Amino acid sequence: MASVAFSSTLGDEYQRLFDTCQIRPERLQEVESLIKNITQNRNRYKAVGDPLGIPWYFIGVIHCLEASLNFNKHLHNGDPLTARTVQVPKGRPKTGEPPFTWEQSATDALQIKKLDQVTDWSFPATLYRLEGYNGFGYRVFHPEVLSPYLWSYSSHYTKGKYVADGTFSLTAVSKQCGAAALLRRMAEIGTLQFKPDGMPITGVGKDNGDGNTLFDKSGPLIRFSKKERSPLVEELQKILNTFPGIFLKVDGIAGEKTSDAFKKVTGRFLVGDPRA
Amino acid sequence: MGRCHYSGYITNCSFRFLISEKWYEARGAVELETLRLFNLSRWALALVIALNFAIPQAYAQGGKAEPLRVQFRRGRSSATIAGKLRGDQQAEYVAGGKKDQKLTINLDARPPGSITVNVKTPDGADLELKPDSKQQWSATLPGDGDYLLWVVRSSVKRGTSLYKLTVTIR
Repeated sequence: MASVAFSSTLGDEYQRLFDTCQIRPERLQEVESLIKNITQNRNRYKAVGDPLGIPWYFIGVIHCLEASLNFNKHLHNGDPLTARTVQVPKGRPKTGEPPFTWEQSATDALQIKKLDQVTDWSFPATLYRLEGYNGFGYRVFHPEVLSPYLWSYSSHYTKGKYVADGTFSLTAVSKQCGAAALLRRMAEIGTLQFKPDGMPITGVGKDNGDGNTLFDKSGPLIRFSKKERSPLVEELQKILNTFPGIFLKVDGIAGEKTSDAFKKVTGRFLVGDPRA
Repeated sequence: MGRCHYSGYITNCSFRFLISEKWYEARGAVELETLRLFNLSRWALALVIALNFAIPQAYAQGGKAEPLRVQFRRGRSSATIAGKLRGDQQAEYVAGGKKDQKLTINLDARPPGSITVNVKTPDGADLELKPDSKQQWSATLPGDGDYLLWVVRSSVKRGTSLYKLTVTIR
């Protein structure tokens, strides 16, 4: 089968795609409606995800893709809970007798993918797991198509789709919102919260955003400093350079010139600048 | 949930089980039982088509993005798969083989000649198949691993092709 190992190169690719992902404007309303429905069921996703150490939003977007958010369907593949699965993966759950509860089925679906053993829920790793949930057939056999399971409804996807298990069409177009597109919009509208290091707050265990994990409690990401180098400052300098009349050396040091440029754009010096 | 063999819709129509309890064991891969359909009367076909159109549950989930594994029954070295392809669709299967085993592919397509099969080695190279007859090709496997079988329509224009593929590895 098409298996793909996670690597830093692959992680960089997922991060770059996520960073540049734009929801197609004509799909925005539909995407937000889906997010509203996913969020309404957050506690149900958490009830399954917390014991397994899996973030609620990960389960929510899979539920959207596999079962159209229907709690009478298997999380594996959308087959009805009144019987074991018929489609791939077939014959799940193996134990118990149908009809299954959604929670029973969802737990089985996540465990057979060994998602309960995952500890890295950074966004690149999350997108890797999501792509793997559907299969790496696009990446391995049809690299010209970015998986619609992730990117449908976004600027990264136009056409090409597995229309059935193991059946690919280059001209078929997905009519479902991709998981990454959903997560991207969740991040944009604040459904997902992030720590200063860019890691999402998963809500699993103690990772609930308390203490110093939130932006507003830990202060700004960039402070005035003539000595410290930071990749975040480099990013800020690159952005400032796009404004007319601003020409900064991208050196990663948030000194006076960077603070001056920052003031030209925002009207304020950087936090920590003695001139502020 | 299954895919109607005729309408193409994903459907929960239970009438398909009148034809075969194993009507559609996996989307894209139809087991031997389905071959009975080839001999169905027109009325039975019309009934199935009508029922599937009557209860369309057009889920857009698509399918798992990975090839279907060819299942050899215990003690058997052959397996038969049947399916249907539309337009530019291609079915993807994978079968495990060992170095120096002989792979034989027998293909029955309707319309005749409308389907071709390409095989890739575990390294991703094309496996050269030698024709044994009009419907049969074979090759000696160059190494251990999973061999990918791509079943494609000869023309990507609109239209439908049915196929019955027998894969033998021994």
